[in-house]
Amino acid sequence: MDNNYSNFMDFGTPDDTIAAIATPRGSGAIGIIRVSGPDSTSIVENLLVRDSSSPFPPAPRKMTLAKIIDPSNGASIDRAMIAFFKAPDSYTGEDVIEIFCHGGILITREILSLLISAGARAAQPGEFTCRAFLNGKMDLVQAESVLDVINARNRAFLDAALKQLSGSLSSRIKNVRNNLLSLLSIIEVVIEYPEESSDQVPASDIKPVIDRAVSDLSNLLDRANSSNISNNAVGIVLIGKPNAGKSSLMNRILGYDRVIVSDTPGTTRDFVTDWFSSGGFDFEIMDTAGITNTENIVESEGIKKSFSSVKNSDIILALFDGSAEWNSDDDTVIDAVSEYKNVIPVITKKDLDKLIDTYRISDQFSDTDIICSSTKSGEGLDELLGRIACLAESSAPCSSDSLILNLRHRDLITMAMDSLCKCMENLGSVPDDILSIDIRDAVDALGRITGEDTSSDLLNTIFSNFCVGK
Amino acid sequence: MKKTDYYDVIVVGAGHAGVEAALAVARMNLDVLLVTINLDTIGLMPCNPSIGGPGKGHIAREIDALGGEMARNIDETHIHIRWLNTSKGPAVQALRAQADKLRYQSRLKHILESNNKIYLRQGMVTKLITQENYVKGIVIDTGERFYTGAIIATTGTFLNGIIHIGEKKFPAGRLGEFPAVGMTESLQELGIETGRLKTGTVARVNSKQIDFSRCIEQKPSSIPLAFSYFTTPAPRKQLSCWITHTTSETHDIIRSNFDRAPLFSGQIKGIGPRYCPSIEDKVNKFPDRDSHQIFLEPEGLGTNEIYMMGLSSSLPIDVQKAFINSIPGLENVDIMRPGYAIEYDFVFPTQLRPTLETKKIRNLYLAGQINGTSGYEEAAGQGIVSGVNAAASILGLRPLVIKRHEGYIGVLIDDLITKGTEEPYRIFTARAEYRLSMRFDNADTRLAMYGHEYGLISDEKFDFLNKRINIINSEIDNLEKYHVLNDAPSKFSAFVSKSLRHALKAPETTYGDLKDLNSSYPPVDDDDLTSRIQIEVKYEGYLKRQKKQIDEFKKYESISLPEDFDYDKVEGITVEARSKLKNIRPASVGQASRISGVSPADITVLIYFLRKASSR
Repeated sequence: MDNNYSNFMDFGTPDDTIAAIATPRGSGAIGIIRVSGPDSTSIVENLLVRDSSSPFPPAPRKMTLAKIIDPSNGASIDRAMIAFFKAPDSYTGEDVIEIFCHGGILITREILSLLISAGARAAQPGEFTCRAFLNGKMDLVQAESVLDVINARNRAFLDAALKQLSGSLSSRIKNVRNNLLSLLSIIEVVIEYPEESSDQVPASDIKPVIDRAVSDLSNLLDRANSSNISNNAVGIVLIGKPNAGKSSLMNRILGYDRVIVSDTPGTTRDFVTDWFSSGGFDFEIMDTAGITNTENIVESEGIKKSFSSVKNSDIILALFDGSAEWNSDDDTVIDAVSEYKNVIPVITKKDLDKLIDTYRISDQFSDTDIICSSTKSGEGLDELLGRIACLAESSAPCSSDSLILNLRHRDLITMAMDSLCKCMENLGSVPDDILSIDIRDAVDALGRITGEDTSSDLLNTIFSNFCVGK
Repeated sequence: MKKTDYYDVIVVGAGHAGVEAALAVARMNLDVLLVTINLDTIGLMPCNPSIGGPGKGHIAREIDALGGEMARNIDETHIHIRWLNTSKGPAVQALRAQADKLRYQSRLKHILESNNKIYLRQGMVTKLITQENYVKGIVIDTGERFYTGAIIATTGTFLNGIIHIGEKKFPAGRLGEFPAVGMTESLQELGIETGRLKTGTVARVNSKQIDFSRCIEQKPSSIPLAFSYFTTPAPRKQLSCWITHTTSETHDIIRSNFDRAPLFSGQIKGIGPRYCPSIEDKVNKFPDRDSHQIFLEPEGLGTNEIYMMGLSSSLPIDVQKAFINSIPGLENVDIMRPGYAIEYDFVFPTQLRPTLETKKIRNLYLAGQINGTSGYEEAAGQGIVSGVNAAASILGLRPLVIKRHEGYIGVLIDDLITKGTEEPYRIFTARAEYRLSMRFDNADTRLAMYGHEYGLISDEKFDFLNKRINIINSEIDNLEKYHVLNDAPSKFSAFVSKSLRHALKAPETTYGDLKDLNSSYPPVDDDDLTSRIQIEVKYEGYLKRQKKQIDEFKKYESISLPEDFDYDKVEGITVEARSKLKNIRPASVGQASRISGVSPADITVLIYFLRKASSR
């Protein structure tokens, strides 16, 4: 842990623009994302579809309605209120934009990611307040009250950091960083001990190491992207026999037609996953293949997957078709979930004639109320979401800071990759001391994730690998 | 003649730190008593007879920009000078020179003797006189007392020094010199904590016994060069250096005598420098290498003594002789002086302020090896800073603190006082975050204003430097006004109608090409200036990027932390951070952020409390 996070240069350059989710997770219907820095208006503008008659940035300290899109594909993200605070009359003393969007980590996180793609940097805990202080915007009362919040956040930040660092992320990053350090030490030893060798390090020795590091880091980013949300959201799986109404219920919960619904049983073979927020929690919901006794190889593979996804999920929604007679497939579903406590039994299609023998379910789930729902009328849906939230509370999701940390990591990894790409561009056309600047920047960025100090690590690497000196 | 026993400043020790310290004080017009154990060893080079190289050469140049003596002294006394790292880029190239060891010393001594403000005195300091945590004077071995307003201790390896040569060990300051006894104990009584370090040097041999035909010649620069901004390079008599190498026989001899090496037997307890290992250490740590390079360096025009870089050892003399004779070219040499290791006391440098004053005792300054460093340049850099600060304290001037972005001297001092050191500290260019901005060529733009501010650089010399800097700046603008013409050589055709400045940015273009690109452009006729212009233009993008980083860095450096700041009152910082902060008592938030174990979170919390404290 030597020198962990000790580099205050973490706080970026003075004229960069930072962004972070300002509201804690689970705090309610509205999420606030704060952007501060000289480029905050131009960065936010990228994400907005505005009424052409309204100016941008809007008049300071006035709420304006705006539609937020993903500028890469024009997809609509949210409708939000935007408030602009012009420097120096803002919290930080810089140009600040606050985006008030719908609450929950999904939308806020999505917007934050877009801001970062548009050129903002993920802020660190306390960084807004730090800027505020440095720009002389803090008075005593504010300092006192903000301090408490920061302390709490910082401790959570460190906890999350430690959790992350003990995992594979850390060892992968360390691995890349060590390879770069070795490369740097080869360059540096020739610089520091010119008597021992007068030649530059050949580009052919440098290129493969950088290529490898860039590809390792880009793999890491891909992995981080795909696992990011699921790591932090509560997992819900829908299980039931074919045509039990799983896809319809999922669409209803999500509020839009995510899954193609068909009356033909067995339509869902490729599992569909999506995310939603409710009651202050974020959920990852997964539709599965209908459970049935089948000879079809593809279908039976899907069913196997359904069983295993039950095992890995935080909440299981066991669906039974209220409009159909009980059959052996329903028994299989009962068997599959019987050992789990986090099951919510749902009888679907309440709007249709009831044919199912309810007692078969109540017999199995004697201490749980059965929810009767209709996706047509919406009946039972509120009750279902309430029960889901109750179970979510007991499944202890991660703190919001760990997600912010992820973004910080991603930011730093991207910085490292940018530096390495710059280095590759210049390879062969600049001397070693210039080349080393970009490699060192990359090592610095990665070291800020793992909490390591470049200068001392570099000298250690030199002295352990090379025999130099008088 | 001095009429009283009171001096404005007393400097203890006349090595590379002490000499610069005394000169700085004297040049600030204060009386200074320079006390040394032996007047014949002023400015001695007990190890390599050389100055410069990457990092070290940068420091010598910085000392020159501050108005110190080192660069001028080596310019007047070198017997071999050349550029290093010329192919590796502008940030890391530096001069290195071999000194005529005796002439280096005698010139320095004469500079001191000729200064009316400096009083030289042979003697060993046995005790510091203090009163209520202020220094008042010294007692020397004759029993005499001298009184003062400030003391600068630059004791090198002398404090309780013990030399090891094989199984033999004996007290000494350097080989053939008395150790300083009493001073460490005096410091400890004042509450200053000390530790023990080890360093060493190589045997010297007689050049007439060397077969140079078996060595590779390393020639000096064919054109005259100079370290100092104020020296006009002139031809001097130059000697070559020579390269040979150890053999597997050398390594066998060393390996079979590991049991007699004080380094391995536990006889030596102090920690030695990793970057400067003894030959037995190299053979031990890198058993796969069957050869190491050895540089044979002449020690002067008037002597045959040869320094053998790469062969530092504290093995017994018979083993030293045997392994030296196993090296090509050295088969028939005798040892003139043996190599040895020396252990000595040093003060943990985290007890110092950025001014090099101790936090415990007011107006007691420490510089050089006593602070855990190694190297003449490192010592001299601290010497001039301590000298200026001791004098500034007496004169009521603001202290001189060189920041990490301003010079290697700043990096060196900040590392020492913030992180401490566990081995003798040597500068490396890799220690600097802003290497490209702190080049050998631009020490004047970084530091000369300080030299001028404190009177170490005269108005005349300052003007001279500024005129040159102005030429560089105006010429860079001028390059924007001329454009590449159609008749430019074909390899530059891509730049036609672009500015000369633009063309010069391309890796393949040199300043010398510009006259071919536009025949009406009047080129500057001064190699030193044109190379500086070329660096500024070629690396403008990188320099701008670094400038941004530096601006951010300065922000935190400028928030100062009072030394009596009550860290116990700061709620919300970690226990580890609190104890480190209380121990080191950083001078600024920037310095605090570099202490290991202090996190950005701790720093943020600290800033609030500071703000709070200052508004009360």
